[in-house]
Amino acid sequence: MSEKSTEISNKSDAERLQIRKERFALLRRNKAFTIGIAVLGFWTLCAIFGKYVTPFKADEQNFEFVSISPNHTYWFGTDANGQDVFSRVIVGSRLILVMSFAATILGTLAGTSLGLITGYFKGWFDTIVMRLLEAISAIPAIIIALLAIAAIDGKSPTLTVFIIAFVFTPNIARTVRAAVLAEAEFEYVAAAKLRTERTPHILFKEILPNVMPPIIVEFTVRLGYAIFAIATLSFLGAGVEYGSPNWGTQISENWAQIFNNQWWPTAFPAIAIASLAVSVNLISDGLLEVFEI
Amino acid sequence: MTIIDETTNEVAKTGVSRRHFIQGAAATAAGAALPVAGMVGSGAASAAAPKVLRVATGKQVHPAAPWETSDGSLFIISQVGEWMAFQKADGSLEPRLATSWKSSNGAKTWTFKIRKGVKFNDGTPVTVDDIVYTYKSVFTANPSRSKGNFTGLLDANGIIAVDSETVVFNLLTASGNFPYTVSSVSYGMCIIKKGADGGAAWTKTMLSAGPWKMESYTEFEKTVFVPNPYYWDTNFKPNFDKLELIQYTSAATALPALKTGKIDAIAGMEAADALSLDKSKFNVLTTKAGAGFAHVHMRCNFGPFKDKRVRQAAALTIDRVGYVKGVMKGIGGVVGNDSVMDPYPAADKSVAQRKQDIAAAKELMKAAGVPNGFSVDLSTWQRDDIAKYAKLIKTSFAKIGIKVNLVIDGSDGGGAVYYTYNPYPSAKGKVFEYDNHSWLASNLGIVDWAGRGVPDQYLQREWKSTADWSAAQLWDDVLDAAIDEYIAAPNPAKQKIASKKIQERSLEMTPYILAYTSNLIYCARKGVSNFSVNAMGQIIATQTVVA
Repeated sequence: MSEKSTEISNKSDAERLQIRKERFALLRRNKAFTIGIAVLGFWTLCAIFGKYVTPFKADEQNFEFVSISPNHTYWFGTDANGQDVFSRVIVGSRLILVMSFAATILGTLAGTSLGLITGYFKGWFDTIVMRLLEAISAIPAIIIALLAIAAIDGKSPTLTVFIIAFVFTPNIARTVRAAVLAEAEFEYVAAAKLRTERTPHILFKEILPNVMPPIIVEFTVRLGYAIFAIATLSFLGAGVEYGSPNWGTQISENWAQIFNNQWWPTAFPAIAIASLAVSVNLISDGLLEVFEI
Repeated sequence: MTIIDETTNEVAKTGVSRRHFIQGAAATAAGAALPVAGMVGSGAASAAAPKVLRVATGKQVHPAAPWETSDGSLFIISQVGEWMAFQKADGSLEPRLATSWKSSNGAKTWTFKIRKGVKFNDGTPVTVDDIVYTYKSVFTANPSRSKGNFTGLLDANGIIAVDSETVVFNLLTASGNFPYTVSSVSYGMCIIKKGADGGAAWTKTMLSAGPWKMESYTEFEKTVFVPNPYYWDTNFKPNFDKLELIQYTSAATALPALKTGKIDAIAGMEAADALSLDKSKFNVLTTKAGAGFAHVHMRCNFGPFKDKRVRQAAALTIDRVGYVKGVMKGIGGVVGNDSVMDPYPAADKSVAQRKQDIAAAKELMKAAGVPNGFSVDLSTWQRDDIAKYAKLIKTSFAKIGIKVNLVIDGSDGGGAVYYTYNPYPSAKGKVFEYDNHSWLASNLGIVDWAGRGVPDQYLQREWKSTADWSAAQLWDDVLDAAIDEYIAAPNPAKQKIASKKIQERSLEMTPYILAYTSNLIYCARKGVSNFSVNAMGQIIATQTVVA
């Protein structure tokens, strides 16, 4: 590597570090982001430690207290099977968080890779891949997921994660590709090419760090969608095991009880889903403001 | 003849609270009384509009056709169909096409006298030839869901039209309760016209001789009936113009329609839903459902329940009393003892009741070589009571290390995967060495059985080695012999002796768990009187009055 290019690179790193510090400072002062992180953090703690702190086991049935409204013993009441709604909501956070994060990470990795490659190479490869991705994007994600789950006849969370990751990939790829198209015109990319850097280096070491802000924002947006997608699939009886303390499943099992004026087995998991989705959206909003995207 | 001799649930025996007992009694009394005031609803329409009785039912899976029905489609057929006899809400038989019957030759020959002047709903007469054709056709039809009712009991040669008013059944073996076999209990065997196709094509006309005539049929949704003008019973003069059966995935979802007057009755519901109804506006009634509705099977010839000690251990994990009192609210059913005999008068009450015993269950698991349990799928289909039962099994089995993964088919209320007829039938010597989450090829599952007035069909089609609907697939000569003895028993005393053998062997082998046996709970708004539903779920609206 020449002396000049090393200087450019060092200067670039220093600038990046400074920008990063400024952004973190801005994020700490951003109320939406702070609230979002707090709520997400709460549910994350529940997901990790919930089963150790709940007053009852999530699957435990107490036939003496069936369909009991919220009270000092059963804070969120009990469902028609005599199960404690509070314990199930707390423990139920684990599956939806793990699944939604896993699906979003997988989708982001796949989408980012595709976006980098298509945006950098352009040409016929870009055209074909993007048309394919647009075709996939045109079909609602839930429909694709339901069709895939039905076709495979599987209800494993792992399978559901892969399916959701698959349906998210096109959106992320398009976002990344748009950013890469702009970045590819900058001089530092040309400089890297002049240095005869290998393509993976240019893509992942040069361009990727500069398109991270839209990727991070896209990640949070997709995370919100993933939460809803998993909750919806669970509600529809697809994706996860019936009877598990998953929020969507809990709503699916108990919603008809609303007509018996037993709102609590449905309301609390629904509130939990809403709070988690809103927290992710607040984080996303905060990131958007700070990154000025 | 063994029958269930009362319609209201014996709530006191279940340990239900006094308050619930009084509520149930009041509801039953109110249901029996004539209406004093009509409610605003579909029935209370203007003079120009037809008066309609709208009833919510469960979902159908298969076509509402005699040769194909084996599920909620029976509710539809029960309106247009006519049988030799009809199982009433109290479990006894009401003569319909047959005016009388008698046995001879040690209950191996049954002679039915046929009613004169009966017509199909197109006005053509019902003859003994039609009756003989109906019964003979089940031996040749494909598919033929009712054929299993006669396995080892009757063949086509045994059905004889003696004269224009007499049909004789010469059985292969004696059967003390045979009239039930040719009654509405064999719900797919309504009388059809000689030469008619009783398959799916039949749904276009629904030609039979029952009290109602199909006006429109939207599969999986709604069927509308009008009175059959040719119905033989001249007392059948409904004061309403149409009967609508509307299918709901969950009875609970029908509650808003009931409360707002969009429907008049719900033909089967959960205890919690029933108890939530305003007693001043709705009548809630119960019908004893014999050994219905849900049977948990553990496959005996393949999979993790092959060892009977594992099955016994699993059965010992369940808090039966707690479940019946808590989830079923005391009115939904009675504690079961893992045999189909227990709910019937023939049962020997001296047989000890199986109770929850986790320590004993763990010992059995240890002895069976699976002290740490195993994982297994529980396959079934989506219905309110069955879903709850599945959860009970999951949480109960977990106490001895059996991790149950629930695979519940049909969130839309269907059960196309679970109630597939692939594989079919179960047969002695044939092992389905796989689990495809269907009824007859699952290691663990819950099957819905309608409530019969006698246990014969459960024994013949589910419990015997030769049964075609045997989900547990137990091949046991001792149990078979006891079942044969019961079926052939000509009187209650001999039935009781055989019943004890069946009960004891059922507990020993435990192919099925019957943690409870159900009561069918139904309701109607005040203003609808003389409306009842039998244990099969067949709606009896012939004498119903809609105010």
